[in-house]
Amino acid sequence: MSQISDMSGEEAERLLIFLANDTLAGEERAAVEAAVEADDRLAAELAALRTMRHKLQDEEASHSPGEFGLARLMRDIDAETTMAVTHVGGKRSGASSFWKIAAVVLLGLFSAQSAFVYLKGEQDGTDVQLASGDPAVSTERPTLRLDFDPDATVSEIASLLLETELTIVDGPSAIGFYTLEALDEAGYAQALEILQSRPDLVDIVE
Amino acid sequence: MQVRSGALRMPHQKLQNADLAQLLKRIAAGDKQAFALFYNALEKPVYRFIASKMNDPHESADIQHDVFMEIWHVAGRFEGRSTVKTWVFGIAYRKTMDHFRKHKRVDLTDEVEERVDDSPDAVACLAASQEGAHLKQCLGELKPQMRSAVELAFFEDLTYPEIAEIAGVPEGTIKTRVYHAKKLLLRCLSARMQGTQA
Repeated sequence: MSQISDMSGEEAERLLIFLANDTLAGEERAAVEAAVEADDRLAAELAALRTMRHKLQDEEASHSPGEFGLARLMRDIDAETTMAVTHVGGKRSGASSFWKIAAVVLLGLFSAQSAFVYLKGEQDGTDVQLASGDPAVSTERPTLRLDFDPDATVSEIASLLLETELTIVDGPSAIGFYTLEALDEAGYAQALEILQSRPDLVDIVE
Repeated sequence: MQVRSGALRMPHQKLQNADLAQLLKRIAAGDKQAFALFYNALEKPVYRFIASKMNDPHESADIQHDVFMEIWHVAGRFEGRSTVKTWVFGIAYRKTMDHFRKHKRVDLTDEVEERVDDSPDAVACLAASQEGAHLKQCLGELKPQMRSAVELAFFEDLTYPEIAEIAGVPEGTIKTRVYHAKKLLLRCLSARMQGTQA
């Protein structure tokens, strides 16, 4: 940091935010404090900046991916390690996609944008599991099964699900397939058309 | 929905720089448990830093994922010339700005429109800054690089040399960015407060 004993008003103003966050020290701090003391406008701005800082630190709740993001990272790291060791040709398993889909579902919990992603397991008193477990939902609505491309990103999958208005009701299976439900036959047909137009993201099974 | 990561589940921990640097050494040697601890210590601030500029939780999660994957790959390159936090935020900053360059039409220059009215009503600003909605709106109107500088100063309480290192620009550039950001913020808050009162 520069040490300035006789600081100009403009230089003091340039450093005002750093007085507000309490990171200035030594002569530099003393010079900015002196400039603030001599100028009511700077003093008022400093008060506003300090209020802003407190307000932001108090209010900004971070809905981060948390443990789920870590699990996704570990899956990708494991997948990299496996690929590096075995050099298996062809497509990877659906495991990587699982974490991406699960991330979409988790993020949907706090995102109004993807609020349509809901799981109906509670209706019959059964916990729905995305991990390979018992299918939790029995439905008479039209369903389809698909596998997401392992290179598809979370945002690409989320956008696609929003567009198709499908709901994940089960998956992944042992080979990585998901079961998705449409509201009705018309929705099914429309979703199928959209999904078939994105072979880069999905492989439709049925 | 149940998703379990078993042994990977770690409590959130606040670690000092020396602890984080030690973890990076272990990560460089392929220690996944160290990586989990490192992630738990920094994922929230990193995500907040990214998400505040993206306004899209899915894109933010993808960028955060890329940041930590890069950390996994390049942990051995950390030389200790900066704090670990600065190093990590530098990666997050670069990836976020890359995303803006590739996918969003955003002006990433440091040019600021000059205005005649240069002295907003500080009392009105003080009142408006207590309203979270006004503050969020005004922060959102800043250019990403200005917003980053203000957020690193206010959320992470970083010094301007640290912010300059993260952004990869001279210290004077950061001083100028926060100076203009402050003016734009105060002007925006003042205008919103006057609009409320009108």
